[in-house]
Amino acid sequence: MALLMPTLETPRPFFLLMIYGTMLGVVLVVKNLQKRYDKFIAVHDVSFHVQRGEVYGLLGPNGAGKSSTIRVLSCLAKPDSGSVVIDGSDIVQEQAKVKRTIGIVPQDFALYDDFSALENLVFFGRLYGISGRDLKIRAQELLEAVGLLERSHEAVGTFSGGMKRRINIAAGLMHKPKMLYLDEPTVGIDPQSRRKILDLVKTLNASGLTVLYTTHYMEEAEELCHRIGVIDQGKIIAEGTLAQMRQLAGETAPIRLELREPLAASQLEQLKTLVDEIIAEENTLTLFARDPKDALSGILQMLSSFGAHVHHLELDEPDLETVFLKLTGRRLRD
Amino acid sequence: MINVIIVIAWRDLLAQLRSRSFLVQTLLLPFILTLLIGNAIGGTRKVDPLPVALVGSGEISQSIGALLEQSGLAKVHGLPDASSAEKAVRTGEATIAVVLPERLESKVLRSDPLEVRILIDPTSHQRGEVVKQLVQGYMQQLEAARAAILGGVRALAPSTAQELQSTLTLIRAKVEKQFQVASIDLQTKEASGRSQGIFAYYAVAFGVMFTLLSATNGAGGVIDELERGTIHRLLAAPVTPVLLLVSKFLALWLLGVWQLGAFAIFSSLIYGVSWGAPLAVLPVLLATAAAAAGFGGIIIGISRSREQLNTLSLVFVLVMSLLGGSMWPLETLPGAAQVLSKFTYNRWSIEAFQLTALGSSDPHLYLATGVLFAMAVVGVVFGSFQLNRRFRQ
Ligand SMILES: Nc1ncnc2c1ncn2[C@@H]1O[C@H](COP(=O)(O)OP(=O)(O)OP(=O)(O)O)[C@@H](O)[C@H]1O
Ligand SMILES: [Mg+2]
Repeated sequence: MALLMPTLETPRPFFLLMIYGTMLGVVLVVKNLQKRYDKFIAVHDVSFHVQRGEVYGLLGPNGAGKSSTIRVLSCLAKPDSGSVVIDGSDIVQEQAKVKRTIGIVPQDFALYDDFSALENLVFFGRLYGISGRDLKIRAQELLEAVGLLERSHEAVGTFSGGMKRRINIAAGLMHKPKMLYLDEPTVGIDPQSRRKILDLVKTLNASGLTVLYTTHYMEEAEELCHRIGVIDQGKIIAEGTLAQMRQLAGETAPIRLELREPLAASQLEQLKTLVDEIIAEENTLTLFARDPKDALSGILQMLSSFGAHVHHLELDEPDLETVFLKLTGRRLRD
Repeated sequence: MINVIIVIAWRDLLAQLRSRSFLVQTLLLPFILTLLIGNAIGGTRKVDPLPVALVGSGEISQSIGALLEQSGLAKVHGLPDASSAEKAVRTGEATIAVVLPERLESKVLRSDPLEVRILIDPTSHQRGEVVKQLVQGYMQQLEAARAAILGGVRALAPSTAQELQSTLTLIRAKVEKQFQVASIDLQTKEASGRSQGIFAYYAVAFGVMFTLLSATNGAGGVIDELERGTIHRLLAAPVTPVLLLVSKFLALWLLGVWQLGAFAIFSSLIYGVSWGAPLAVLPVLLATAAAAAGFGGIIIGISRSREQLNTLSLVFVLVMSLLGGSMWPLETLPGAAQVLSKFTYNRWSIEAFQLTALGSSDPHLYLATGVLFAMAVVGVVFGSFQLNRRFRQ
């Protein structure tokens, strides 16, 4: 009975979140999170939850507030308001417990360049109190998992970007966390390394690890994530499974056109009568129409009547990019 | 908890140990510097005797010559006259020339005014001064003896030849005794005087300076970690900010102990500089290393980037070394610098080590050690405060 009664120290919302968290197999609950840097609000009002065993994607452009959110969830910064509960523990009040539950893979390589891959892993493992044989075995296991066992004695400073990214991931896994945060783990690496990392995430997830994955590559979110939250300017503007997101985009699919010269404002107005929405960026147009194939002939006719030259035309399936474009009027990547 | 502190501090030390510049700075440089200072100033094991030109004849002259040779400070060459002695000093053949008046003995007995001329090569001023003092000391004794003899002679009113004989014997015995005691006294006092002091001084002074420098190296490592983000990985692990700060400052402190220890060991092994009794030296060494760690904290606190830290460190260490006696002896500093030097780590540490070297338990030793620890606390608290703020950014 006492368990169900909110205590004075635990305000009601926290209490309910904890119950919610432990009862529904939810590992992470973020509620109305706000994070400020002085006056600038980087994270406005973010709420989402991550279920046990799922890969949850936070998809958003540069500066959306992904890393700021992760920083709070990693106990590196206190939330200015809102609450975060991880595996039933409040992130502010039960830091020690939370820290053992989570593993973090920061956006920047947080590794010691003048130490070998093995030494880095061993060092981070020791911080969690792992020692002796367990420590060695765990480090070897992870080096093998990320495909760097042969190079385990080389200094991390001599590694390529892709290799560093993989060691960066291994370092976050030394203490066998229940949940792993991956903050843009594929930025700035070659397609081959990227493939390896995506496969690694899938393998880890298949073995039961819950993952919070931030990215600004929609393909990655599409491939990896069970559910996706689209974040922009510190707010989650859409959330759901990939299928739900596609529905959000509706039947509308984008038609992308590249013209030789930009259209005049009046011409854009005219064109708008044929479609639902137009996003014009210099000489690139993105048009949303309920039935793009039908609309296309009318569009091309009108353009030729304007004397506009079409360089390039593309008909897309509705994807996350479309969702983002529709919701914000901007592209994910600039 | 302690475990985590050791793991982090050990990694920091290892990181320093692995950088090539660290070994150069902490081991090679102290070694070379000790050798250089040792040879420039003369070390302590063996003092090369100074060439001394001595002009004069007779027993007193011989006696002065013998005294100087005996002290081990001088190698005496007899020269016929003042001009040749002067020439010898000018050409560097002699560092110092002592010109005694002609017919010195009879002048002494006749109570004529005595003029002893001493010429010193200014480039060897320090040690020339010692020889000069030796000679002056001798001449003063001579003066005293002469007064005693004259007094004795004036008081003489011998009635018999035998009485005269016995009085003279008495006086002679007295004078000889005085001479001997005086000269032995002079020898011991001066021979263990200045030259060892200067070398020991610089071994300590440079040691302190280098300890401050290695603290800034360690501090740079902390700034690097902030920039790289490894600090944040540590903080996301079960490491509280306080624990992390304790580890970082522990590493800085140990770094200082290593650096200063290297100086102490090299200078005492190679040149036998005595830093003092180990049990007296240890607290001062620990206090100095702690103060250096505190300095590291201040540098961390005021630097925004690694480049800034490097520049600030160099400026601070140089200014403090200039003001605090690491470049030239504290006693030679002008008045304003004397006051400012009280704000430097160097001064307090050098003073404390000077006292331990003398085996002194002067209260100033405890004061200086206390001030060093207090400086350590101030620096560590300031650095922690600033770092803690940056952890949250
Ligand atoms: N330490 C800081 N001080 C002030 N502003 C900051 C700080 N860190 C981030 N910001 C600002 O907060 C906003 C969100 O940044 P954040 O790093 O969370 O974005 P992000 O989604 O991770 O972007 P990216 O894809 O570029 O990594 C940005 O406008 C950024 O300029
Ligand atoms: Mg980011």
